Amino acid sequence: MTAILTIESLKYNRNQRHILHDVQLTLAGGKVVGLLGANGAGKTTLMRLITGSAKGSGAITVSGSSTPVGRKQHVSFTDHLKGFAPNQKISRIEQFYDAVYPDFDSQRYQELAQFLDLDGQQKLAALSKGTREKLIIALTLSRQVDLYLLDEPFSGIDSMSRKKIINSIIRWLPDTATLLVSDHYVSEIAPILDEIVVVKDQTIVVHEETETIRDQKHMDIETYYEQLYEGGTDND
Amino acid sequence: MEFDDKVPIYLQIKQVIYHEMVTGKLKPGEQLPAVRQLALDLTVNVNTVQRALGTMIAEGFLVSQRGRGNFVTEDQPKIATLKQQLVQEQLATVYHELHALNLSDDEIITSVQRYVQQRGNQDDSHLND
Amino acid sequence: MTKSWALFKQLSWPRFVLMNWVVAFELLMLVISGLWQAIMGDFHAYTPFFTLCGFMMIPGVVSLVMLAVQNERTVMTETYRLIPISDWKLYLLNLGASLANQIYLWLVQGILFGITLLIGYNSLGKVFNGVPEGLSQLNSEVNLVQLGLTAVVVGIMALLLIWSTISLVHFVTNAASSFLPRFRQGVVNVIIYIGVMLIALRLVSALIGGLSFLSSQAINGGVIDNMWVGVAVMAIVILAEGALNVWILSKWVEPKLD
Repeated sequence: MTAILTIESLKYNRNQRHILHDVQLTLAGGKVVGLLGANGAGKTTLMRLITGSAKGSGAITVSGSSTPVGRKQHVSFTDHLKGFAPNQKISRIEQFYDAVYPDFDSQRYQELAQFLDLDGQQKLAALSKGTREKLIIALTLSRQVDLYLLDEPFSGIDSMSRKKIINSIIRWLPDTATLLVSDHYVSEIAPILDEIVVVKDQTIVVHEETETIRDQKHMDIETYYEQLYEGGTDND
Repeated sequence: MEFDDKVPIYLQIKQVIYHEMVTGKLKPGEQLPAVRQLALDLTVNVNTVQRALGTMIAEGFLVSQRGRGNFVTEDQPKIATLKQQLVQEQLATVYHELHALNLSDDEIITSVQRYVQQRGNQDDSHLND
Repeated sequence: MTKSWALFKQLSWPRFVLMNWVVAFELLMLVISGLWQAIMGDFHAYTPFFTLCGFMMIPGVVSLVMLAVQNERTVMTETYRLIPISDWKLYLLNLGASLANQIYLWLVQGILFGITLLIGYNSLGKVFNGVPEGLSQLNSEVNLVQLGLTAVVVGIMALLLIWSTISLVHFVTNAASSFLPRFRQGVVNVIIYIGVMLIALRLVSALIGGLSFLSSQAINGGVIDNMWVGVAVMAIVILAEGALNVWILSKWVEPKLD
């Protein structure tokens, strides 16, 4: 299987603090990967480094492109829509995506929007947290790319929205594409994950297949993840 | 569908489908839903469904027809052995658990008989309600 | 890759809406002050013209600041930074979209100016009795056109210079903040603000002075239009700042986190 994402010796400092160092990661195509770690561990930063929003040192390659602008063509990231005015209508935001992303598939968006009950006439400011997240997911998955990065799509939303989002991932993620989803509650997404990647102590400490963890360690993913933190102090 | 996250999910998917085959919910020769649809129905990863189906095809319980999808085998005796196998597995668990409570083989048989009888009476009285 | 024109349109739309708000506000002020003067019994055909002349500066300055804010916000927002287009194109399109909308506002101002002038033309003649003779001394119409054109070009250059300098200060402080520990940022930011402003001002005046001296020497005391030398100097500074801005932007400037 060819690699969709390769990260080599990635380092990132900010305000003279080490945020990430010695990050190595290779993700194959056609996988759903959970990016786990405590709040502030650097999950969002890692995603921003992949998109090119954050500027670190080291090499990041997505589908053969290593320049930021090249990577942006192959990566679809859950943008929090800060660039839009609060009174902006959903349909207007969709038009923006359609205009600036050549790989945006309107047909797919319509299907996703219908599935997620999105109303194009609604204004951004009027959306509940769950609906706003659903809109972000619909926009992100409507691009036809190799790598999808979902940054904490489940934080603070109701369980019905969460289920719908999980189902739209299963239904609309292209066969050969890889999806990296960050979350700090593992159990809610564990059944849809092929692999987990854990960020801890400013680097990636674990990259493992979920079925291997269940099969060989006879542990559920949550317990396995928590145990990394319990043992952590001894390793330092 | 809720899965036990301590057990490989592809094994649990196999159990679900085997169960449907044995109980006749999935008939011999019947077509299974598409992989993605199954993944949606079970809320699991597409690759995991693929893996479960793959092993079931290798075991001969499913037949894959290129470009058409996956079908339950029409080999009835094969499904009968599957039923046998599932029953064996359940009994093995019960036997193991009861043995752990220091019951002898005879005691196990009588307690199972008594249980079945009681259960039957209970269900009858429920029906009369 | 995103098409430049597609992104230009998307960058322009919110600014266009803003500019129209500015115009709407201006018209509202015009109506209110007109009504006020009508109530006071002091309304003449030339009143709108004078009112407009009175606060014409306000929409100009307000729109300039609003567009500067838009410029800076765009490059600091992930919504725009995620778009697959190179940083120099984003920078140019961003600046271009603001410029186009600023020119749009100027055009609307010009039209308003013309309309109010037409309304009050007859009565204005009485007010400015002596002026037409004064104007006729200012050569022919060709010169007036040339003067207007020069003013527009100088205006555009000044605008670009202001915006690129604001961006430069913004980008440098932003880039510096990623290196320094938090507590030292405030002090450094102030130093950079003042420093860059002083350097930009000094640079422009020194260049204008130097170039006009050189060129007047070179053309042997011939008449050099100082205005155009100034424009050329501003163009050089805008280009230099632009190159620096794009470099810092792509190297260090990260869009804001939520």
